[in-house]
Amino acid sequence: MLTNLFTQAQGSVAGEMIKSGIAQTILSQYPEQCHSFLLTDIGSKIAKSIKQDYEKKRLINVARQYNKLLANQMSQEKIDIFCKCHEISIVPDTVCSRIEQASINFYNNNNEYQDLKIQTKHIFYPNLKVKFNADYQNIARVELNGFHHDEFATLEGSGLFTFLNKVYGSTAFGAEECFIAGLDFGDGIIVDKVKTFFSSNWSKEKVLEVIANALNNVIEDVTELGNPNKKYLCRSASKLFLEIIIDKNNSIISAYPSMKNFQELQ
Amino acid sequence: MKLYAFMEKNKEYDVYRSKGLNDYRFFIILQLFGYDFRSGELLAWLDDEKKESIGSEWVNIEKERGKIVLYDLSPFFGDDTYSSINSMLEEAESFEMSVENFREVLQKWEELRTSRPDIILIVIHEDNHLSLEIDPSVIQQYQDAGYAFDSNKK
Repeated sequence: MLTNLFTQAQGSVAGEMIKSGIAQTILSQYPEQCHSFLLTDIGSKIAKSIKQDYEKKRLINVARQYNKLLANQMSQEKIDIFCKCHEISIVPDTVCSRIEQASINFYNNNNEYQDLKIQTKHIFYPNLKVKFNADYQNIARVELNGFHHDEFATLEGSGLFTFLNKVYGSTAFGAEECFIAGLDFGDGIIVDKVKTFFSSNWSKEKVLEVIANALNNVIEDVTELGNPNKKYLCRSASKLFLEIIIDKNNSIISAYPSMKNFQELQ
Repeated sequence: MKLYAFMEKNKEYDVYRSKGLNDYRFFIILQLFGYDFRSGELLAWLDDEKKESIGSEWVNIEKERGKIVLYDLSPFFGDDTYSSINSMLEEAESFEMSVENFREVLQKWEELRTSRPDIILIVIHEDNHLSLEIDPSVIQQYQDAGYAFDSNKK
């Protein structure tokens, strides 16, 4: 009986819903133009993971982009890479909880920083953005937004990515455990532009403490003209150079070891 | 009208800070001289016919219509709602320059990133031509010509 129902449903929207496991209640929350993406495995997975308003907005934008790729007859292989990048960028619940817990621990242990706002997700989890060629037939590159710390190499250990061409920093700057690296996310998703990372041996709480302490020791305002945010070169107690970016709401939107720690090693 | 900005070195820490017109055009130009692009990386990209795009979280650079177009991605920094860099470019401010001028500027910067002069003047000329000046007498000429600025002013 169930087999018959499934067979009848195949090929229809109902069939796609069964295949992707997405409920009508979720579909009804989105404009119809988003449905073809929502009915894909990844679209369904992203939809089910949504907790915040901005994630819903992103899903709608991703669905529109997906339609554009189909309209331009981009190869399925390239479309899959685009979808995979968005799948990778979903922060798993366990990681979300750990980030939230680290923030709570940090504020509990550091009363003096109660007013300091830090966008921790940007620092602790990767977000991948695809750049398509002008004709939407190829992927020009994948840009890694954020992500400057992998606590105890947990994410790499989970198989999410592999660091490429790691180079550790200078001992003169207390950066011997920090490193620069590219990342290979598998399925041809390679970020070859190196980024700087805090030591994987550090806890998230320690990273937050290093950032907060370094902000008390600003070396230079290196904000570029026209930058809507402020960018400071700071130095930690252990002499590590950090760049800290603060937006107009006085929130730290990014912080990472400065490339200055690695200049002489490249 | 010429537009100018300059990069002044903090001698103790050997880092540049920028001063001058608070304009997106200087923001995207200054990205060429930061840490995001390694020595020779942009020139190698320019010579690679297969690659039309390069960038960072802050700037996107394209070979477009026989020119080089630099896009300001700073308004989108940390905004996770965009689906792709292309969707940001639809809203981004940009600055166009000739391939030849782009190459000249990069070659000049490759010299300066090693020699590390105390002050580098960046000039956008009327035709979007970009130049980097380090000769004090040339910088003085710009001051005398009315593109004046006070390098001591913070």
